[in-house]
Amino acid sequence: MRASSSVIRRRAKTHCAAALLSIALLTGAERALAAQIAATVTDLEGHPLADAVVVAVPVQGTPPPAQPATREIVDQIGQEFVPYVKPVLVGSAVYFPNKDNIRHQVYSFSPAKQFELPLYAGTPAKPVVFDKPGVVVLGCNIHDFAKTGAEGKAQLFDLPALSFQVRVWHPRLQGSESATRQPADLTANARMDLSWKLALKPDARIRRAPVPGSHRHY
Amino acid sequence: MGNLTAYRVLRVLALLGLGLALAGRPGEPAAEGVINAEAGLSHDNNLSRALAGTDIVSDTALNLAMSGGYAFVLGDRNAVTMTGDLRTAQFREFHGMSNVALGGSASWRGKFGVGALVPWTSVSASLAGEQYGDSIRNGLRTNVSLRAGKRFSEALELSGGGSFDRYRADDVMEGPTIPGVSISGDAFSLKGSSLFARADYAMSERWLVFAGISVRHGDVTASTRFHPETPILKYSTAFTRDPAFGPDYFAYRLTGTTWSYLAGASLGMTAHSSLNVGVTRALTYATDDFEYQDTQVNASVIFSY
Repeated sequence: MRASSSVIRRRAKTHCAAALLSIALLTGAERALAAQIAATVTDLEGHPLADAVVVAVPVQGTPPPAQPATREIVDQIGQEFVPYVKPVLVGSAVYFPNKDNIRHQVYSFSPAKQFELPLYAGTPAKPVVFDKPGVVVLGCNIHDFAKTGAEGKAQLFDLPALSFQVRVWHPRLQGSESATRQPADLTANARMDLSWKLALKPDARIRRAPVPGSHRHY
Repeated sequence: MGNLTAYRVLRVLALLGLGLALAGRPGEPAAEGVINAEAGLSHDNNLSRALAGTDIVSDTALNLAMSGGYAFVLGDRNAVTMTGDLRTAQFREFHGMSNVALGGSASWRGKFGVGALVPWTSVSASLAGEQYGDSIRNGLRTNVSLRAGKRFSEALELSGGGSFDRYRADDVMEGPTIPGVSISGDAFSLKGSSLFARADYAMSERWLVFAGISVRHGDVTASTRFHPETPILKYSTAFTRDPAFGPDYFAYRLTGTTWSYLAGASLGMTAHSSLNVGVTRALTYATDDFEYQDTQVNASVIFSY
C-alpha cells in the first residue's frame, strides 16, 4: 500500500480516451489471499469521472513494503500532457518525452515538486524525481491552455485481507479529500464495490478552443 | 488587384516563405503548422458610414477567412508565428463592397516569466492587398500593433495595446470639378492609430464571454448622396464618386475619432473549434459635430489547429 503517492496533474490538455483508470496501489505479499476493491466515481449527476485517484489505507496492521521507485512517463502529445492525471509512487523518476514536432517546456511551482525543464525536443536525458507526496501541477510555458477529461473507474487489486479507509482525490474535487473516506473491511479473495458521488468545482483549465480576435496559442 | 498592390503582396509572401524555409532547416525541431479557418455572417446597419438617414444603407455579408503558416518556439518564453492570410466578404446587395484580401502576417509573443499567469506582450504586423467588386476601392492595407496582457486566473484575461493602420488605394481618382473647390480625389486612402483594451472571461468549461473598447483617431471614409447644402466639402480632405452604393453616391474622407465597443460570446465546441457571436457598436465623431453611428452583428464558426 502506498499512502504516500504523488499525483501529477497537468495544465495542458489531454486527448486521453481511456475510460478505465486502473491503479494498482498495492502488491500484497500473499497474492493468493488478495482481495480487491472496485471503485466507481461519478459526479453528483451520476456521470462517471475520469482522472479520479482512489487511495486505500489500512486502518491498522503493517502496510506491505513499498515497491521500488518506478520509471514513469508523462507524454506531451498534441501540445498536451498525456495522461491528464498520473499517480506515481514517491521516489519515482518521471520522464517527459516530447512527441510533438515543436519544442516544449515543462514547469511546476507546486510545493511537492518545483522544477523547470528548459525548452527541449525529444526526451530529456534526466528524469525528474518526485521525492515528496502531494499534488504536483505541471504546465508548459509555451502552451497555457487546458482541456477536460472523459470518464473513469478504478480498481484496486492485490489487497491484503485488512480493514481499510478508502478515499478519492480528483483535480476538481470540492471539499476535502478526507471527507470522501469510506471503510472497507476486506476478506480473502473477496471483492468489494464502493462508489462515490463527488461535488466538483468548475474546471479551472484554460480553454483551448479558439476565440475571435484573440491570439491564444502562441 | 492593381499591379502595385499585387507586387507588394507577392514580395511579402516571398519573404514569408523564405523565412519559413530557413526556420525549418534540417536537424532542428520543425516549426509547428498553424491553420485557422473562419466562416460566418455579419450584418452592418450603416455600411456606407453615412451621416444622413436617407444615405444610410445596411447589408449582410458572408465572410470566409483562412490562414496558414508556422509557429516557431524561440525560447522558453517567446514564439514567432508567420502566416499567409486569405479572406473574403461577399455582400448580399452591395456587390461593390464585396472583397477578397490576400496577404501575410507575422507576430512575436513573449512572456515575462514562467507560468500561465505571468504578463505577456506581443508585436504583430500584417499586410494585405484588397480587391473590391468596385475596383475604385482596391488597395493595400497594413497594420502594426503592440499588445500586452495578463491572465489573472484560468478564467480571466485582460489585454490592451495600440496599433497603427494604413490603407493605400491603388488608383487615385480625380477630385470633383466644382468651381472654387480644390480637393483630392483620394477618398479611400486612410491612416489612423488606435488604443484598445479587452477582457476575456471563461464562464464555464465551454462558454467564454469577451468585451472590448477601442478608440481610433485618423481618417474615415463616409459615403453620401451629394447634398449641396451640407458642408461636407468644407471639412473633407478628399472627395470622389462611390459607385459601390449607387451612381449618385460620393465618398469623402474626414479626420475623426471612433469609439468602438465590442461584446461577444464564444461556445467552445471542441478543443479546436468554436461558435461565436458578437456585436460592435462604433461612434465616430468627426469635424464640426459630424457624428456617424454604426452597429455590426456577426456570427461565425472558427476552426484552429
